[in-house]
Amino acid sequence: MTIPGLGSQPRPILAHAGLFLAGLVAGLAALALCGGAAGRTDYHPDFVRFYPAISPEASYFPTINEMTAIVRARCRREQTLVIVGGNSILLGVWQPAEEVWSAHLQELLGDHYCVVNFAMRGASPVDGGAVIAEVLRREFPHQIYIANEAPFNPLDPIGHEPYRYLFWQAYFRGELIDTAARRAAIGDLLWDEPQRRKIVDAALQALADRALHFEDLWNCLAYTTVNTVPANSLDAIPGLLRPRRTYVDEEPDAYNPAFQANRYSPTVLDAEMRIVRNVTGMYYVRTPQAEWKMPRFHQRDVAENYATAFPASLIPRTMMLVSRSSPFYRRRLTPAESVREEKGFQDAVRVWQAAGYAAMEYGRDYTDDDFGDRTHLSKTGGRKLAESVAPAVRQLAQKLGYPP
Amino acid sequence: MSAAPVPAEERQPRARPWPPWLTRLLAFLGGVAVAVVAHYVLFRVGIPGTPFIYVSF
Repeated sequence: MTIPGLGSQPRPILAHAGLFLAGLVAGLAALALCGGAAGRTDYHPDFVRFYPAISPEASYFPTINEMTAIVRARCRREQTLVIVGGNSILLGVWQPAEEVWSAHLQELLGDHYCVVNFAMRGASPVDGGAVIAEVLRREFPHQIYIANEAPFNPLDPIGHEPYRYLFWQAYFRGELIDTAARRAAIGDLLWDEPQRRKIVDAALQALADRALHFEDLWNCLAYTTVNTVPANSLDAIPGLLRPRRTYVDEEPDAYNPAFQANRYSPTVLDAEMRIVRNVTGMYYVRTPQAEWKMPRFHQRDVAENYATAFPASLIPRTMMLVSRSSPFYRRRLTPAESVREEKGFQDAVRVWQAAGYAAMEYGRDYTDDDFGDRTHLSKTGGRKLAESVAPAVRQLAQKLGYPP
Repeated sequence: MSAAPVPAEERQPRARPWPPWLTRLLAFLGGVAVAVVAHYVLFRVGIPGTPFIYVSF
């Protein structure tokens, strides 16, 4: 209605619903474009490893795109890509960032290889780096994946919490190899209502993210510009918004005298010894002839589990490191326990190898100083590890027919 | 004594204190703001242990 002298009458705000919707659509489109660009960008220019402030420990969940961008920015397709997965041992706990074992491995392997450390604390061999290596299998066909594990630990072919989110991201994007073991593992989860809901959530999340790229955009902003996800280990208000990149990798050096004074503390001796004994003790029984044997059903379970933990086509390029404990604890084993441990580690390597993996143990001849605690390596232990892994990597690359 | 009601056709429309283009701009920006919030909520609901506004699909 037009009132003489007043021009057109202002419409009520509801009449602008079309403009509101246009803003909504334009906003989502712009955010999706920014998220897509963030996912193609390596915003970790000095990446060494996922230290606590940029890992799930502090509610920072690196995405598939974020991790593949890190690889693409560092590695050339003609190089052999060496992705390090596994747990805190390979992450390099007790090794300062500038002296982490994977950096030494890179030095030893030279420019024909590109080493990227995607190990995460508490991760299993099938988590984190394993997913990224699989996603990049066509783009980087010359690749070797390295992970570590204690003897006979069971593995879930769809990964383990809290790192399973990476498996779901890749799985629902169709970037993983379909295997019977994975289908069976997912089928088992579907029987459990809370797990079923998690899978449905993950599927919907992946579907929405495929269109809107929210994971990459907000992770990128949290890292580069403004942190929006609080975590107990980070600054609280008023420093809550401090971007993650400003938190440095403060991994302590096991050779720091202040730390060494408390290393191998007597207060944890009993607890650590229980762990060292159980590494093999829980799998072996002693025969009347005083020999250690693993029950046949257990042997079969372990062999089958390792044979299906990774897709069959990826097993030959996977190297498994079986981690020994510090000699400080091992020499406290009884003679019978020492025999059992020796047999357990040899058997573990054999089982991995029988399943088609490259496998080796490490730590047998390391000293107390090569460890920062029962299981993590100091920088000297890390150097020894790199020196034993480098020739094994070269040998595996040669066996797989990769360019020298 | 109350005043006689003014016939509808004689009522003067109340002039708004802002120009019409500003209303349109606000409507558009409102849509953009909702897009930003929705985009961020989608990100946050995917983070395990999200301390607030945890929404399961």
